[in-house]
Amino acid sequence: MIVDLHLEETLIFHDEPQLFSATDQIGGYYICLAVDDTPQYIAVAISYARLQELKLGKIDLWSIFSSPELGVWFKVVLAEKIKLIGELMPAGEKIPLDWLPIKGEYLPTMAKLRPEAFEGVKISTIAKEAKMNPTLLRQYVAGIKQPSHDQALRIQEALHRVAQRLLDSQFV
Amino acid sequence: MDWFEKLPVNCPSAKAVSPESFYFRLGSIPPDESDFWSHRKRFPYKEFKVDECIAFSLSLFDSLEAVERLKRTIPALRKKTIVELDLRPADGLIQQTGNDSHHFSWWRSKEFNTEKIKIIKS
Repeated sequence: MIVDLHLEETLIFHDEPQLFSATDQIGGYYICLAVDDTPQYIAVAISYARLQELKLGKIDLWSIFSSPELGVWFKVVLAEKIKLIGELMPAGEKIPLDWLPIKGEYLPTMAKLRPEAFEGVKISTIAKEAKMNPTLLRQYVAGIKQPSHDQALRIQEALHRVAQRLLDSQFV
Repeated sequence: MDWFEKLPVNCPSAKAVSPESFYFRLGSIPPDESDFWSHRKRFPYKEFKVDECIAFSLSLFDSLEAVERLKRTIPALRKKTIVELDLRPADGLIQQTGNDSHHFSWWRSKEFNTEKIKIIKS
């Protein structure tokens, strides 16, 4: 059995995607993990609910790949340009242990502030609303510094207040 | 800036900043000059739904713990060695990219000298 896969979201990146979610021709989800430099990946089909658990850090990667929901693995290769081909591994064939992540490793934390959230607004406006130094906010958005949870919340609330004022504006 | 590789137009973006700290990267054993080539220089024709500007960058981490976690998580990277780089503003520009807040893309200038790297652990 062969499936055509399309990369949906890169979850771990180091020079190239190392772990990513993909979909097949009928929208089924897969998660693909780099196992060597060629690059070759292994993939397992994954339900949307389990994919969300992975993204939220509720389940580790070892569990995803050692116990696939459908009990089968796919070998994935980059066939041509951006075409990904997944080939079902023969029934009963187990993946080598060194193709598995170490137990207890979860997805890395997301950046606290997503830069795209600030693309349509002036940083100085949000900084003023949050009563924060604009230079510091620019450093947070650029990822040079990491805000604390409280600071991230303060910035988020300021962004929402500005957005609400824009929503409330009426011209006709 | 005098870039090590010819970069696409408007790359790096205005959000990229000067590095002035220690960063970590995975490389070969022993470290090789090509460890400091971008993905695009190593694989000129490979397309993998990655922004072309990012394809011309090198991945760095601002935390040793984050790069050690990456080795534990990704089988393809488990045998790589960790190198430490003391980057100065003349060495290029960096920008936080990707889902990991510790991951940075680095656009290397010609000033960077690979002899400056320090091998941390293999």
